[in-house]
Amino acid sequence: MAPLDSPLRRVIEAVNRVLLGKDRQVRLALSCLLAGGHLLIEDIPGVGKTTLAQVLARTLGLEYRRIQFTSDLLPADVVGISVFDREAATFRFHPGPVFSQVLLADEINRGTPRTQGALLEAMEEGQVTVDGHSHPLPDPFLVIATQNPIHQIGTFPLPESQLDRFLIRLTLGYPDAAAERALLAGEDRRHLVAAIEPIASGKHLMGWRKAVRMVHAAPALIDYVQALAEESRRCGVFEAGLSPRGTLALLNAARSWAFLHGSHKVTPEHVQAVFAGVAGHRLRPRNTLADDPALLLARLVASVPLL
Amino acid sequence: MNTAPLVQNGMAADTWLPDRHLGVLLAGAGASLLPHLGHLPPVLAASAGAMVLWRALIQWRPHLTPPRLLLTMLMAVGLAGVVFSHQTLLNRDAGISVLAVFLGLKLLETRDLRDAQVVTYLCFFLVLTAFMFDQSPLVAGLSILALWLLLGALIGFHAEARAIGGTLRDAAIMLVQAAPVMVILFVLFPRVSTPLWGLGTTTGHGVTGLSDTMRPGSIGELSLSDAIVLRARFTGAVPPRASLYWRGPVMEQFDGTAWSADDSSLLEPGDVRVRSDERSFDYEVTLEPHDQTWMFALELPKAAPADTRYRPDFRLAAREPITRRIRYRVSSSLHHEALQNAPPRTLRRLTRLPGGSNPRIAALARTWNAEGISGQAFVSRAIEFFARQGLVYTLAPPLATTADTADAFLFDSRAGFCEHFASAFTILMRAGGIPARVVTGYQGGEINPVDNYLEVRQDDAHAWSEVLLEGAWQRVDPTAIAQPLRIEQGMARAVPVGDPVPLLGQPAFAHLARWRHRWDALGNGWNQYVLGFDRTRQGDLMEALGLDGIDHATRGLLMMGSIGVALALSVLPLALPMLLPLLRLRARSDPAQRLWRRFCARMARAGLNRAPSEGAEAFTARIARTRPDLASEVTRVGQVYNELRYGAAPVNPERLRELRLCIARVRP
Repeated sequence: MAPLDSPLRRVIEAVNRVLLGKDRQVRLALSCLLAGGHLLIEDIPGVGKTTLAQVLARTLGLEYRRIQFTSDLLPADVVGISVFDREAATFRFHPGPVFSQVLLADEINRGTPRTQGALLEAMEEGQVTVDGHSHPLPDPFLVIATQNPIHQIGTFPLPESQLDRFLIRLTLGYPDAAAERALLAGEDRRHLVAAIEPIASGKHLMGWRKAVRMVHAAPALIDYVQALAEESRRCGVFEAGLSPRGTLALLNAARSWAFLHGSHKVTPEHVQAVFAGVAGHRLRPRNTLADDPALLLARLVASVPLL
Repeated sequence: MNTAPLVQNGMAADTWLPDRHLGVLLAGAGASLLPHLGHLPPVLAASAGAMVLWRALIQWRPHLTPPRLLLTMLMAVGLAGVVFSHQTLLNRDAGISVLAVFLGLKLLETRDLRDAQVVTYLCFFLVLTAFMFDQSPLVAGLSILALWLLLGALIGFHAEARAIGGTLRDAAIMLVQAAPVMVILFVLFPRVSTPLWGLGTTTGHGVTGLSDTMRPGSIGELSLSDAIVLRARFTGAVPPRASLYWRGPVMEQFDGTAWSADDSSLLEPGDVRVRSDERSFDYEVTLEPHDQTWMFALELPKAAPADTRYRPDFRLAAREPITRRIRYRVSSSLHHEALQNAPPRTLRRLTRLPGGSNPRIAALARTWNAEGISGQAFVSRAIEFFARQGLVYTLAPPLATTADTADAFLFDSRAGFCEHFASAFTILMRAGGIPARVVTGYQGGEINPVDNYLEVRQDDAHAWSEVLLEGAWQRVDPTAIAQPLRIEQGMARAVPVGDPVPLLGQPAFAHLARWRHRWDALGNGWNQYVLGFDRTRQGDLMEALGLDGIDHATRGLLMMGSIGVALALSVLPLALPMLLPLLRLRARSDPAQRLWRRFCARMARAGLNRAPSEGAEAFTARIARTRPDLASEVTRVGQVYNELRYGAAPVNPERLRELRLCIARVRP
């Protein structure tokens, strides 16, 4: 195992200093960004969704904007608008908040489907088209969306086809007792976030992404990923199995995870570690009420033997 | 490393009960109740059936689900019903009634998988108990049907998404796979000479058949039943129908209307012998249970079978009432002399008539005696008289208006059944001073063309007379004198057209009779080879297989061994598709994998089992946590193995050696 690239280790440490006791989730979020995917954080308010997004953006030294989704937010508020410039006698495009390296889409399920659609289209295509003109989005362009659990009033849950655009979905959960005590006793989080100095930069991120793509996936490992996908399709517990895009996402996320752990190869343990994050929002249980989805995922992993 | 696997061992209890599989279960429950219909009190059987239907209705209309209070009340009513029907709760029959009622109640409160499984096991038990009452092929068939449905339901409960067709097919396959094991157990399992507790007795079931008294009409009633009395298989030729006299109860006591078997004459039988000719007929009788001690044999058997008494009235008697189907071999001689040198008291008893009864017969005998006719001549005269009297053989004789039924038959109505004939003739003999008695039994029988067994039925019941002349008993069948067709062709052809005869005895139903032959042959085959597969038969089979003389231990080994082979053969088609990939995999697996497997096996022996989906590093990390003494070695093993299997570098011998060394260093 090679020692971890030190700026990356420092990023992890920095984020962990602000978000206490969530090392796993922090690493999952970072793996998502390193794999070039968008991240969906789903949890109840007040567990640190926004903080995680902010800290990640700041430590990575990326340009960062935030949109609070509400039911009266319009697509133009996200992507931008063409305004007539009287002096130049032309339309000039005023880019919206989407034109940033990291976009924090807070409470995305409070927005109307139209507004959600505009953002998700931008995520998918890497550019924005207004009045027939295409405006490319910066690179890297990462969306960190947060969402409250769907059974809250006045929300528009994301359809499955759009959930698929997020590489990883994670939940933060309550902090453990020790972490919560440290949180209560310690400094105000807002000050901490504001005080964070960028550790890395966009250039670093691009370099890491290249390295992630180099992480080796042996034929035996690809066999295992395929076996997992096959089992998700065959077992009959889910409405539909993992799509090829989902399988690819699983492999890429596992590569990132391996890279984050200083490994040059992906092992089944890496795949298992990211499986719930990658597959959780892509596999809908057939019998939604009877079973805990997390348990079903764990059962699926347990039912594929490692030879 | 922070790579805790996602495996969790706790499983949520599955409680979902799909409609269609519940339907199969209900059908199975119905099928397990069916064999009990014959002996359950009708009210209880009906209520158990009604509760099964009710449960089916609930599936459609959930609001019909009974509340708990109602269920409790139903249970109390059910128990009360059982106590009322059986007068107790504590014997076999009551216990099975309780089972049946509780099956219905349990079904009514069945909501989830657990309940349904309990119901299934209850049904299995109910199926088993059916054999305590009835071991016919019909019950066996119903039981297999019930087993099939119940198995299908069980499979369905654990694969809720499957269609009924698939689960029932699997259940059928399982039954077929179980069949060889069943056959092996059936053939090889040691038989005990007494039946299992509660099995095979018919006591209290009201068996019809001959009794030890004969009054006018008693045999006529029997002749409407076509139930099988006995089956005989002859080793050689079958005697002609007219000589097939199956000797049963012998009656020497007459009270004016009824003849009865009175054993007191046997107290002083004097010198009794049978002198028989060379020619003998050998046959094996399978006698249906009739709750009496007498055993039928052709007149006259040469010797009594084992465990049987040969009584001075020349009939065979068992020591205990016959409550199970029994089998015995007899050898009879049709031309014989039944010699009895009876003392005077016995002779007096054999000529005794109640004073003043049947005066016209007595007068007739006096007239003949006055003419100086006695002995053999008297008998010949009587036979002649019976032949000339124009007597009609009928199943529906006119009701006698006087107490002197024999007089009324012989001189007024002149129509009667065999007991009238035999009774009147014997009375006439006794009135003439000749020792005589009535013999009841069966006359005739019919060869079943399917299995060549001679079947004797209740409608072959018959009565005839016997006279003692010069120290030898002589059979006189007055029915044969008046109506020879009865003896030559059977009862159905002898009675006048329009008389009631058993349905299948009527010539118009010949095609039905053919089917009955087949059904009876099936029943007989079942009796002979399945139910009758007793210690003797098993011994015969072992001898035929050359397996006689082996001890119990060897036999047990043989049984277990053949069951093992049968199981292996039946599982093979299932296992092949699973084994083949494994074999292929073994051939394909790289050397690192083989080393890893060896390592896992060694760990397993030390009680450290790898979950099938557990990765190498996760597994070794877990071992390191539970066995810190092994930590450094096993961690290295996990790392090296993962490097070899998932790393970018090609597998080289040096790394393999390293893995081998690492593994060797681990000593759990």
